Amino acid sequence: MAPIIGESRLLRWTLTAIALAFLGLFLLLPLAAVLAEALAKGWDRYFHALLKPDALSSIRLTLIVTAIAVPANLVFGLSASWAVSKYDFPAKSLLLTLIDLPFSVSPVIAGLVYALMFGLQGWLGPWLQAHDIKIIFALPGIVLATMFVTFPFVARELIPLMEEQGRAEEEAAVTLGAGGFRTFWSVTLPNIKWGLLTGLLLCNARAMGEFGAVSVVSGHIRGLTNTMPLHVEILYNEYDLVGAFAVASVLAFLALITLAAKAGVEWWHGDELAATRRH
Amino acid sequence: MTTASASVGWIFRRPHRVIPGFGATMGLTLTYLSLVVLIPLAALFISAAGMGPAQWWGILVEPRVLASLRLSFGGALLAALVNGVFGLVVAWVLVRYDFPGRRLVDAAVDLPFALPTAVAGVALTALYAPGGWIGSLLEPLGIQIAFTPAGVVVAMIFIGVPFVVRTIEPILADFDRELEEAAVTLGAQPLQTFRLVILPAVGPALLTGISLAFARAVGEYGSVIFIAGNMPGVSEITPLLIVTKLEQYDTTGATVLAAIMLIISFLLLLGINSLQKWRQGRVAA
Amino acid sequence: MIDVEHLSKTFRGVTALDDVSLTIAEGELVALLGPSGSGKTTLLRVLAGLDQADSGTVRIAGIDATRLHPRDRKIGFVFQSYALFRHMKVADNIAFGLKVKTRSTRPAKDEIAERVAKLLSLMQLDGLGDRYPAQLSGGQRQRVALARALAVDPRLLLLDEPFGALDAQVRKELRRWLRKLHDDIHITGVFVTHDQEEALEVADRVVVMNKGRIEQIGTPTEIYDNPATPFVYRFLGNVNAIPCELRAGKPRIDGLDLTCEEPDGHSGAGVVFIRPHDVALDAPRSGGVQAVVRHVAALGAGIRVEVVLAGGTVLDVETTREERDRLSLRPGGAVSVAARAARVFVE
Repeated sequence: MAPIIGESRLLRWTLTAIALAFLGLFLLLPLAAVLAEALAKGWDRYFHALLKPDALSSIRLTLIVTAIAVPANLVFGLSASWAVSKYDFPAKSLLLTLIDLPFSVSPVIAGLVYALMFGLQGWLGPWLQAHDIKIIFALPGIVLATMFVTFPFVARELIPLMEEQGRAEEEAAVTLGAGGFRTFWSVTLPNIKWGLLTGLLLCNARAMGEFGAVSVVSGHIRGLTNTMPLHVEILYNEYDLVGAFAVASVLAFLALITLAAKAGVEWWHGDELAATRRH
Repeated sequence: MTTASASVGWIFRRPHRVIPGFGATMGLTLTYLSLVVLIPLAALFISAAGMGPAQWWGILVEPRVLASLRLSFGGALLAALVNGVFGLVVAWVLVRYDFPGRRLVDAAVDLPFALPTAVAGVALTALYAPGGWIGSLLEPLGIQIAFTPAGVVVAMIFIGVPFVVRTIEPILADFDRELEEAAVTLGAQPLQTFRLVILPAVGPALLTGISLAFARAVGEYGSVIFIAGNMPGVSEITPLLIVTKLEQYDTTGATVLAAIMLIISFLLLLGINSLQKWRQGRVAA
Repeated sequence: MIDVEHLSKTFRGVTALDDVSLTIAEGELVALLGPSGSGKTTLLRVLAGLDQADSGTVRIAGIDATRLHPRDRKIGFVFQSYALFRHMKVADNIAFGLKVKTRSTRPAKDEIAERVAKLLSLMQLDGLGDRYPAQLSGGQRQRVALARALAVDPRLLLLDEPFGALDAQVRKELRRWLRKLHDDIHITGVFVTHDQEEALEVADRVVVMNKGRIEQIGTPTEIYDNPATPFVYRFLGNVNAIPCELRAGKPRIDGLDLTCEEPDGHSGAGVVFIRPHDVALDAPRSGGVQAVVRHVAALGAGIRVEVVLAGGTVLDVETTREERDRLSLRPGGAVSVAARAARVFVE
C-alpha cells in the first residue's frame, strides 16, 4: 500500500504536522481545558461540586431521559431498517430522506416545534392545561425533544448495513418455517449486532448531551427540569466555573468512553461494519 | 421490479412478500415518524404559514434578524470551507500515511459527534477568552476571538470536523491505486497526480462533507452561544434569536424565523444535491 | 535494451521472484508467460519501477534504473483494468502524459491535439475523442489505454494481461492487431499473459515463468518444440506425461521403443513426455507396440484418440480424419503405436 505518487518526505511530514496540529487545536485542547478548569481548585472542590444536590438531580434526569429516549429510538431504528432493507416499496428514498430530517434541523427548532404544540400558547396547550398534564417544562417534553434529535442515529447505522447483508438469510429462515419475530431474533440480530451497538453508542452520547432542543422545552427549573448540559450552562452563567466544568468533565468522560467503545467495535468487527461508512 | 408500475398497483394489488412483518414494521415506522417528526414540523409550518406573507416579510427584514442570518449562514459557510481544506489534509494523512498513534487519532476525529455541545461551548470559551490558553496568546497581537463573530466560526469549525473527514476517508481508502500508477508512468509530478487524478475523484465526497458540515453548523446552538458574545446585530446567531423571541413571548416571530431558517437550509441543500447529481451524470462509470 | 540481473523479491513470505535474469533486445516483443503466482506480473512491475525488488539490478538502455522512479523511466504501462481516468474524455486521457510535462518540454496545444488525433486514428478510435471511458466498449477502452501509453513516445511498452478482460473474439482480433502495431512502430515491448496461445502467436520471444523462476526463454517455436523442463512441456500444449523406469538414462515403457535419453544417465524413476501429435498410429501388427483404442472424439477439424497399451499405459493421440478413416479407428479396435519424438526427465 505504499503511496506511489512520489511526494517528497518533507511534504509528507508537513502534511502530517498540519493534520495533527489542526486536530490538536480543535479537539485535544478543548478537552484538556475542561479538565484543567474542573480541577483548577483541586480534587476536593471537584468532587464537592459533583455531589451538590442540584448536580446530582441533573445527572439523574439525564439518565432517566436517556433511558426512555434511547430504547424508543432503538425500536424505531430496528423497525425502520427492517422495513427498508427487507422489502421493496415505492417512495423508499422519500422515507430515507424523512428519517434523516432531524439531522438538518437546528436543535432549537426541534425544541420549538414541541413548544408550539404543547406549550401554554400552543395547539394543545389549553387542553393539556385543562387536564393538568404537563409536557413542556416537564419530563415528557424533554424526552420528546431528545427523541426528535436522536431519532436517526440507530436507523442510519443499520440501514446501509442491513441493505448490504441482503435478504437471503431471512428468506431461507422463512422457507424453513420461522415466523417474523423468530427470524429477526435468530437470524438478523446476530448479523447486525455490532452495527446496532455502534448506533446505540452514538444515540446514547447524543441523548445525554443534547442541549439546544432540551433548553427550549425544559424551563430550566433547577433541581427539576435541568439535564446535565443545562446544568453546566446555569453554573457557567453564575460564574461557578469549577462547578460547571466538573459536570462538564463527567459528560466529557462519557463521551470518551463512547468513542473508545465505538473504536473498539470498529477495530474488531470493522469489516462487518464497512458498509455503514458509505452514508 | 419497477417502482412506477408498483406505485399504482400497490394500492390495488398486494405484492407477495416473503419475509413477514412488513405491515408491523412499516406501521410502526410511519407512526413513530409522524408523531415525533412530521406532525410537529408540520405544526411549525402551518403556524408560520398562517401568519401571512406580510408578517413573514416584516420579520425577515428586521435588521437584527438579517444580521443573525448573515452570521449563522455566513459563519457556517466559512467554517465548512475551513473544514473542507483541513479535513482533506486530515483524511489524506490518516488514510495514506502511518505514524504511531494513527488509530488513536482516527478515533478521536469523532469527538465532536460524541461530545455534548454545551461542554464544547464552555471549553472553547475557556480556551479563547482573553485569559484562556489561546486567548492570552492572541491578545497581545490585538486579536480577540471569544465573544466576537470569530468565536462563532471557531465553534462551528469544531463541530464540523468529523463530517468532511469521515465522508472523504472511504473514498480515499478505496481509491484505485492503478490510476495513480498510470499517472506516474505517464510522467506526472506528485502535485499533478493529486490535482488531476485524485482530487476529481474525491471532489463529490468533499462537496458532500462540506455541505453536511455546513448544515450542521447553521443550526448549531450549544457549542456557539457560550463563545459568541451574543450581541444583537453583531454576534448573535439565528437559533439564539429564535430562543430569545420565544422567551419574550413573541411566538409568532420565533415560529416564522424558524420556518425561514428551515426553508433557506432546505433550498441550499437541494441546490447542492442537484449540482452533485448533474456532475455525477456526466462521468458515471 | 533491458538487462535484468539476479532479481529476487519476497512478498509477505511468498517468493515472488527467485534470481531472475534476462535480456531484452531493442525492438523485441517479449511475452512473460506463466500461471498465476509465477511472478510474471511482479517482474513487469519491477521493470516499470512500480515495485522494488529486494536484490538484483535492472538496466534500461545501459543505465542502472533499479532505483529510478517510474516517472523517469520513459515507459508506457497498460494496466489490466486499463486504469483510464474516468472523469476525463478519451482525448484528454490520451493527452495526459503530454500535458503534465514540464513547461520546457511540453509541446504546444495544437501539437498535442495533432498527436492525439494521430493516435486516435492509429488505434481506430476516430471520432471517439469526446466520449468518456464509460461510454466505450471493453476493446475500445483497451485501445485508449494503449494510445495513452504511446502518446509520450516511451522507449519501452509494458502491458499487464492486456486482453484478459475481453471476450474471446475481441481478444483474437486485438492480438493480431497488437502484433501488427508492433511491426509498424518497432517499439520494445513486454507483455504479461497466462494464455499460451496468445504468447505463442504474438511474441518474438517467450519467457516461461513458474513460481518466481524462469523455466525457459526462447522463440515460440523453440519452446514448443524443445521444452527445457517438464513444467514447460506441461504448460504449453497438450502432452502425455508417463512415469517410467530409467536404466542408465534409457526409459522403458510398456515395450515402446523410445529413442530419447536422459542426458545424465540416471537410473530410477523418471517421466517421459510425448506430444499427442508425435504418437504415430498404424495398422495393427505393422511394427510398434500393440494397443487398443479406448475412445475416439472429433475435435473440430482434428481427431483425438485414447489408446491403451498392453501394460495399461494410456496415451492421448492427436491425428487427422484421414488417418481415422484409413485405420478404421473405433473404440475396441486394435492399432500399432510408435513414438516419433519424446523427451525424458527426472522430476
